[in-house]
Amino acid sequence: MRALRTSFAALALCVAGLPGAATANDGRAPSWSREVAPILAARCFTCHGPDPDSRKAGLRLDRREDAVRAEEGLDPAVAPGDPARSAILQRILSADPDERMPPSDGHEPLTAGEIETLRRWIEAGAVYERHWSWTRLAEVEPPASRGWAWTEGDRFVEDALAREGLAPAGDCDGPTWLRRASFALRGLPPRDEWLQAILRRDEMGTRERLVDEMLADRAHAEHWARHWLDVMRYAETRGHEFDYAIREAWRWRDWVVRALHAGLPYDRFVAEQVAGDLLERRVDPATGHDEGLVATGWWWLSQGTHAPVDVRLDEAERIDNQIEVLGKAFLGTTVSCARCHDHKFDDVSQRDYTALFGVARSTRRVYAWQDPHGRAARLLEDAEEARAALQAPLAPAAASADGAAPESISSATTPPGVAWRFDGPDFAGWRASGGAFGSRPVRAGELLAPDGSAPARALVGSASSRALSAKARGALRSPTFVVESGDLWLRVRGHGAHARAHVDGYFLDEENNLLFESHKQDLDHPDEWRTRHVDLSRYVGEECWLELVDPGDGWLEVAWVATGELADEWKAAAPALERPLALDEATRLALDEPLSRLARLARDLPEQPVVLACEEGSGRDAPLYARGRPASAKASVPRGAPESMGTLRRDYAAEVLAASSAPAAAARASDSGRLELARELVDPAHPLTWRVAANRVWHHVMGSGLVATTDDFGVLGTPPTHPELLDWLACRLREHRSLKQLAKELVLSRTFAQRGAVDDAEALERDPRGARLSRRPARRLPAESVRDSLLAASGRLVEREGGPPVAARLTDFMQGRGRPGASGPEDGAGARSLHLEVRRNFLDPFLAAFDQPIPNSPRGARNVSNVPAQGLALMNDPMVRDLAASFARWILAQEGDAEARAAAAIRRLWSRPARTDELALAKEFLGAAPDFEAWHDWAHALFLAQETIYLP
Amino acid sequence: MNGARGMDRRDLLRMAACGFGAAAFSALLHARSARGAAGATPLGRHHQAKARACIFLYMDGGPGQMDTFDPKPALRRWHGEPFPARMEATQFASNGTTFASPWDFAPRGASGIEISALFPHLATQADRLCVVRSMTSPFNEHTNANYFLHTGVGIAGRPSMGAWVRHGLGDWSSDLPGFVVVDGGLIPPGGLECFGSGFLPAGNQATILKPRGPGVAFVEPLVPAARQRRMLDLARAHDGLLREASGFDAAIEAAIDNAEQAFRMQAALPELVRLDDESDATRRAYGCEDEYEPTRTYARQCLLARRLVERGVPFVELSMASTGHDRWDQHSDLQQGHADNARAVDKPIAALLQDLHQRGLLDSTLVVWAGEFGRTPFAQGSNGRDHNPHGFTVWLAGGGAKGGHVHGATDELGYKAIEGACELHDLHATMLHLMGWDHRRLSMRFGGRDMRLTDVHGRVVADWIA
Repeated sequence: MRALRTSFAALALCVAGLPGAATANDGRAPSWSREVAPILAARCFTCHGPDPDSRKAGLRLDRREDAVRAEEGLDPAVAPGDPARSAILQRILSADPDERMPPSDGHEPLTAGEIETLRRWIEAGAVYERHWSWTRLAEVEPPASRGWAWTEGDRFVEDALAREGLAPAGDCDGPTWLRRASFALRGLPPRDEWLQAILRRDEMGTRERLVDEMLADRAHAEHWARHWLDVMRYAETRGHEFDYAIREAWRWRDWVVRALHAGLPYDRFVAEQVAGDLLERRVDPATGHDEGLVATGWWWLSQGTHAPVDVRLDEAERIDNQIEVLGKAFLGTTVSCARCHDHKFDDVSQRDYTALFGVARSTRRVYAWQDPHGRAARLLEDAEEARAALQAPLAPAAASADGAAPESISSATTPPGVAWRFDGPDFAGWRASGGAFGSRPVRAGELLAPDGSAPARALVGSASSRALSAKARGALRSPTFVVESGDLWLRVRGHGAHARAHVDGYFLDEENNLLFESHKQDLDHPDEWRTRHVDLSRYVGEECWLELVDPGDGWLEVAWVATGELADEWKAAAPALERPLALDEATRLALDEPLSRLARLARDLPEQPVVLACEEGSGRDAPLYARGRPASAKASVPRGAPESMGTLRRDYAAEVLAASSAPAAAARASDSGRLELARELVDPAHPLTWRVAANRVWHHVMGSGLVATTDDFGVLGTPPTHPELLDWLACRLREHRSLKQLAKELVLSRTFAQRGAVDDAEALERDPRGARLSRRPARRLPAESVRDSLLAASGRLVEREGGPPVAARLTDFMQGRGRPGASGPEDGAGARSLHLEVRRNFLDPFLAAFDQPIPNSPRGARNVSNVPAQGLALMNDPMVRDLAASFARWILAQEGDAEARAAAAIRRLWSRPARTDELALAKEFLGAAPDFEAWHDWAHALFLAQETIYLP
Repeated sequence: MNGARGMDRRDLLRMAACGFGAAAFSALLHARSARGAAGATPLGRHHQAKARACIFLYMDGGPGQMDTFDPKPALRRWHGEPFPARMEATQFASNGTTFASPWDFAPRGASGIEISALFPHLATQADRLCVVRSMTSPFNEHTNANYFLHTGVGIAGRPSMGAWVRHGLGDWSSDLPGFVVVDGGLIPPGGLECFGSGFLPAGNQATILKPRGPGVAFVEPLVPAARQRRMLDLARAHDGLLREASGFDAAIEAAIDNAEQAFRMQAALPELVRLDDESDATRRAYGCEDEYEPTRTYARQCLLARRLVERGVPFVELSMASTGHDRWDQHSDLQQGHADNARAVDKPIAALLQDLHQRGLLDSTLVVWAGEFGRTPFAQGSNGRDHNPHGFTVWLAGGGAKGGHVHGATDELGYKAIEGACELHDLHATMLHLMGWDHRRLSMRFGGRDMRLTDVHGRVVADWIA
C-alpha cells in the first residue's frame, strides 16, 4: 500500500512536470491532429476507421459526420459538447468486460490520460481537422527574438522554449561545434586547418566560411548520399537464395553523389528519380552521360526471388516494394499499407495504391546505353545518310544480281497470321532504343554495307541491328501482350546477341532460368535464318513483352514474330543467301565516299556504358487485388498518381498555383504515367514533398527529426515537435530548393551549437532527450563515420571518385549460398564505407553492429542501438587493431617527445587540443621509453574511448 | 510521439522513484536501446510462461512428411503409377509418378505415434512429441518459405522469431547473447537475414555461434587479457575526463556499460563452447563420438543448445549440419539423402530431449522441429521429391506442449492438409503463447503499422498445449 501511494505521488508529480501535461490543463481543447487522432488511430480505427472491410458494427470514427450520427433512441458515438452522452466514452469506461472497448481479447485498455484527452476533446465540441501533414504549408513569419537567436530558424526555437519555460543550454565551444559540423556535413573529422582557423578566431564569419568549404567538399555529397541510400534501400545484390549481383547498381549510387555535390534542386532530384528517362536531358559535363537515365535505377534495387512458382505474385511483391519506397521516400506516406485494403489510418485508398501499381507495371527494367555527349546518336544519324547514299549507285548492280522483285521476296518470307513483321516502314509498334536498329527496318532488296564492308543485298526484310554498323548497340522491345498461346516463334539470325521474353516483368531468369528455361535465347547463327521457339505454355494468361538485344560486338536480325500454331515449313532453317555484289569500276568509285564514311563512323563510335534504368512499357492499368492477392483481381483502376494527392493539390491549388509557373499537365504525356507522377510530386503546392524533405535535412543535421518518424507523416507517425518551424523550413526549401542551403542554415544555428549537458536537473528532466531543443545531447556517429574516422586517423583513408564497389569483406561467420569465392580486403582498400559492396546476404559485420540498416525497406531514421557487439568489434576486429597500428606509426612520425606526440594524436582523433590530464594519462600508460607496442596499445585504447564514436 | 511520450513518463516515474541521478538515466538508456526509438509496446512477458526458453531445430530444405512422421500406406498402392490427384505447380515442374516412402513406420511409445525407421533414437521419445501433421505454408520457394517460417513474412527484412523473443524480454544484461544460432555449417537459403532483427534494434539479431573454435565473431582478444584490461582502463579514464569536460550524458554512460559487457563476453563465450566439463556419458549419448561426422557436429550443436538454455538464453536455433547432400532438399536420390540427414540429427535430438528431461529443464524448454515446407508424394524425376507447402509435419516437445499427441492430418496421399489445417502463423502464435506472450500484443511500430511476428494472422492452437 505504501509503495502504491508513493507511485501515485510520483505520477502526480510527473504529470504536472511533463511538457505535454503542462499544456494539457491550460483549458485549451486537445488538438485533433496531435493528441486525439493518434489515440483513435492506435486504439479504434482498426475496426472503426476508413477501411470498410474490417469495420465492425458499421461504426466509423474517422469522419465526424459518421461519428456524431445517432441511431434512433441511442446515444451517438460522439456527442459534441456532451461527454456523458457519447457512446464511445460509455463503452471505454464500462465496467462490464463484454461491453468495454477496446475488446479485452488482446487489446490494452485506454490509459486514464487518453480517456481524459478524449473527454475534453468531446467537451470542447469534438472538432475534426485534416491530418496535420496533409494541410497546406503555413507561411509563417519567425517570431521576434529577445536576443538569443542567431538565425531566423532559431527564433522559432527561442519562442517555443520561452513558452514552455525552458532555458536554452549554453553554447558549445568552437572545436566542439567544428567537429559536430564536420561530421554532420561530411561524415568525417574536420581538417586540421579548419581547427586552426577556429582556434585562431571563432566568429560567425569563420564558421560560415568553413561551412561553405565543407559543403563544397565532395565528402559532403558522399556522406549525404549514404543517407539517401538508406531511404532507397540501396544494395548491390538481390539477397534470397543465391544473392545474385545487381549489375551496375553503383552507377545509381554515384548519381546520388554527383547530384548532391552539384546541388541539384530538390524538385529536379525527385523528378529525375521518378522519371528521369522522360525529362529533358541533363548531361553530366564530365562524361556527357544522361543523368536522368541513371537516376531511375533505384526502381530496380529490390530483393528478388529466382524461380517463383507464382510469377504474378512475385510481380506484386516487386512492385509493392517500389511503391513502399516511393511513398515513404518522397511523401513520408505509407502508401503500401493500402495494398490489401484502404489505409486504416491515412487518406490513402486501395485505389490509390492500385493507380501507382499501374504506373509501376507499365514501366520496364532495362539496361540502357549511355551516349557520351550524344556522339553515338550523331554518328548513327550520319550513317543513315551514308546508307541512303549507297542505294542509288548500287541499284543497277543489285538488279542484275537477282532478277526477282524485292516485294515478292518479302511476301514469300512471312508466314500467314504472323503477330509482327519487320518488313514495313516502321518497327510495328516495337520500341527501338540505343540506336543500332536505325530509324526503320531494312527492306527486302535493300543494299547494306555495315561498317563500310563489301555491299550486299538483304534478301529478307528485317529489323537489323547492323543496318548502319555492326558495332552499334541497341535493343528492340515489343508492346506488352497477354500470352494466349504457349508457343512463341521468332525468325532470327545473328551472333553475340540475344532474344528474351519477360513474363510479368520478371527478370531474374537472366541469373537462373529454372521455370523460364527457354525465355532467353542466345543468338549465334549469323549465316542461317532460324525459327526460335520460346515455350510460354506455363504462362498462358500472363503479360509478356519481348526484347532483342545487341550489346555491341554482335548483331541480330529479326524478320517476324509469330504465336500459336506454325506450319513446319516456317520452322525450317534457311541459309542467308547474301552475296557480295560484283561491282564495275564506276560504281566502285561512286561508292567510295559513302563506304569510307560508314567505316569511319564505326571506328569513331564511343564506348557506351550500360546503366540500369527505366523505359516506358505499354500502358497497363492494374486491377484491384482483393486482400493484395493477385489471385483475386477485381476491376482495373486508371494508373497515375494517387487520387488523394490530386485532391490535396486541388484543395488549395488556386492560391498557390497562381504563383507557380508549373501548371499540372492535363493530358497524359507518358504511357506509364510516371512523368505525371513526377510532376505531382514536385508541385509547389504539395504539402508532403517539402515537409518530408525539410525534415530529413533537420534529422541529418540535428540528429533527430522534428518529425521523429521521418518516413511516416501519417496518423501513426509522430507529430512535429515544432510545427511552425517545420513549415517555415519547408517553405524555405520550396523557395530555394537547395538541400545544401538548408543544411547550412541549420549548422550555423544556435540550436545546433547548444551544449548537451545542463546543470539544472529539472531542465534535464523536462527535456531528457533534447526533443524540446533546450539542449543537444551527445550523438553517436553513424556506422560509416565510425569506420571512416578510424581510417582517417590512421592515415589510410583513400579518396575515390566512385565506380564499382570494393568487394565485401567476409569473415568465417558469414556463410551461406552466394558467398563470393574470396573476401574483399580487410580494410576495404581504405575506401569510405559508402564505396564498400552492399551484399544483402553478407552485410558487413562491423557496419551492421553500428546499425547500418538492412537494405529492404526505406530507413530515413536509423536505429541507434547500444550492444556488446560494438564493443567486441572495436576491441577485436583485426581491421580496427590494424588501423590502430597505422595510427601508432603516424604518431611515431610526429615531431617531439612522447607528450607532444600524444597531444598530436588526441588532436587528430578528437579534433581539439589535448587536455593536461589526458597527457598525464598518456605518460602513465606509455612509461618512460615507449616502444611501438606501447604506442599501438595506447592508440587502440583511444579508439575504445567513447569520444571516438560520440560527438559530445 | 505516442510511444515516446509513454516512455518518457515511465522513465520519469523511475527517476522520481529512485531519485534523479546517473543510475536512473542509465536504466533509461538500457530500456530504450532494448526497445528502439519508436517502440510502443511495453516489454516483458504478458503472462506466466510455461517455457522459459525455446530450442528451434530447423530442418532446412524440407523433410518429406510421408518419410518421417506422417505414414501413408496408400501411396504403396499407387507407387510408380500416375499420381491419382491434381498436381499443383511445383518448383522444378518435372513431376514423375507416385512415390511411396522407402521407409517403414511403426507405432512408438505408449502413445503409439507412428514414426518412420529413419528415427530409431527419436522413436524412444515419442511420448514427448506433439506431432502436427497438418502444417501449411504459402510459399514454394526456399527463400520465401524460409523467411516466412522465421519471420512470418515471405520477404527479407523482418525480425526473426528469436529476435522477437529477445526483444520481448526487454532488458537483457547477461554476458551471453539472447538469441543464438548454433551453426552446423548450413546457413539456410536467404542467408543471415533469416535470423535478423529487421526493424527491431540491432541487438536483437542472432549471434552466430560455431560449435567449434572461438564460437563468435570478434570474441577472441587480439592482445593478452591483462594488456587489454589496461587499455580499457585507459579508455574509461578518458571517458571520465570527457564527463568532466562535457557533462554527464546518458547515452555515453550506457555505451560504457556495454563496452564492459563486451569485455566479459570474451570470457563467457569460450567457456560455453568448451565442452570439457561434460561427462563422457553425456557426450556419448549425444553422439559427440559417433563415427559419422555430421552426427558429431549436430551432437555438439544440441549439447551447446542445452548449455545455452541452462545459462538462461531464451532462444536458440540450430541450423543443419552438412551431410554432403543439399540439406533435406532431396530433389533426387531421396533414399540416400534423407537417410544421411536423419542419421545426423536423430541421435543428438533424442539425447537432447532426454538430457533436458533428466535435468528438469524439459518442462520449461520448448523444443520445435520444423522445415520450411514438406515434400511431394509424387516423384521429381525418378527418385526425388519436389517442394510441398500444402501439408507437412512439424513437432513440438516440452515447454508446455502436449506430449504423445498427434494433431491434424493430410489426405491419404500425404499431399494436402485436410484435418486441423494450420498455418505457420499458428505455430508462431502458439510458441509465443507458451513462452509468455500474446502474439497480438508483442508488436513494434514501424512504417506506420504495429508489426507483429504473426502479421495480422495466427491463433494459439489449444490442442497442442498440455
